[in-house]
Amino acid sequence: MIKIIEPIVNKIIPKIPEKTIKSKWWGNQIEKAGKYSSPESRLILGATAIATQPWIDFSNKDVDKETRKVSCARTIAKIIAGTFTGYYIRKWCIKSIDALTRTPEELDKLKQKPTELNRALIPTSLSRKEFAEAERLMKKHRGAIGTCLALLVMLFTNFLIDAPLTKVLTNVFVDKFNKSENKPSDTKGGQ
Amino acid sequence: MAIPRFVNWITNKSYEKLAPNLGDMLLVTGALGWVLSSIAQATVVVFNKKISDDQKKFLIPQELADAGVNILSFIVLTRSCQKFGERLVEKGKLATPKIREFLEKNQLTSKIGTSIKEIVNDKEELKPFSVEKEILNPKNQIEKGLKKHYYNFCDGVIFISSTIGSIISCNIITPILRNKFASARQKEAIQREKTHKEPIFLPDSPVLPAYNKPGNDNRVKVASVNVPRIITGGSMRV
Repeated sequence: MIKIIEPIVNKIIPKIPEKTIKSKWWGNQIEKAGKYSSPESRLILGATAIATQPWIDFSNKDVDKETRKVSCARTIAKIIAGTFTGYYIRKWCIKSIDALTRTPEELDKLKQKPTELNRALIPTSLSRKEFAEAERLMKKHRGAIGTCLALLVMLFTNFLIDAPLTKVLTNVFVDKFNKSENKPSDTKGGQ
Repeated sequence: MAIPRFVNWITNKSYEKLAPNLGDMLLVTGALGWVLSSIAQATVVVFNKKISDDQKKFLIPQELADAGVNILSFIVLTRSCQKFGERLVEKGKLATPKIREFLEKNQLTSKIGTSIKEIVNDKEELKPFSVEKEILNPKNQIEKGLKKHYYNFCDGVIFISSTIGSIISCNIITPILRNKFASARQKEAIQREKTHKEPIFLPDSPVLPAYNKPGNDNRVKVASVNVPRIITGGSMRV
């Protein structure tokens, strides 16, 4: 599937007219976005998810009203729990990886001495000159290790924080929905 | 503090193998993350006493479908958007005035969208034009800070395009499709249960002669048993 995407994109690109972003404001915003990484992405996705997903669940006429209510409550709970833990885990992973992969330039900037710990996850084969050349690959290396670490952490937090928190919040939201509802519930639905 | 040898081994392997293919790696880890999350969430739904059995019949398939549809829509849509954004910048279709100025200064504007002859393994090959390659080419006149500016701009476009793709795939397409899948599964499960609990009427049968006397209602009612509906020959009066 991934291999199909590339040729399709390559066929479309030549047909697109050239465009220069002349607005300074837009140029700055795009450059700013380049500095964002997965935690910010998780926040944006969480914010847009809360604006769309509950409405999609609430307007699902294929299930009865009670199921719709629980499904909607669970979706809101899942988004809140997932965004909260997802954001902090990613942030923590990036900070940890950054602290363990200090390049010579960064150590100079931070006025730190190179130690075994602050260079623990730096490839042993890289020399100082290679660091300057491999800046972009180094960024990707950090991303790769950070993602693996995040996956490892989420293996536990999914079961220990996300899921139980979703359960608690779901029950809270279902109770709130029930309290705010005055009409008798429709259990016939689309079954 | 000495760093264990296996940490060095993992670090070197990550730098050599994973970092150059970060996109594919993110896809695999993302898929694993969705599967794990779905298993955790589905487990909690199973043990949530406040959710009725009929609701669970919808919520559990909904949770499992969430992972499956998310992975598929991520591959199809998010990756396509990401690649599209990346290629727009790489091929010079989308640029800032600074990048455009570099292309004009080095007379590269006419090459946008074309292929360039390159020598790969002593053989001449046609490779598509790439702004990145031109910026890294020492033969070109490169302004100070242009490389960093180009990468920041490229990363920004990739971030925006992949975020747009993720919003459409994860927040719009996935919930619609997972709900369709889950409600179909719920209907199936409820129907199956109804069929199993429905009374079974055995037809006139030589096995049960006592019930075949005149005036006797020869219907044998077996209530709520978990066996499939028995349909055999003979007359079935309902």
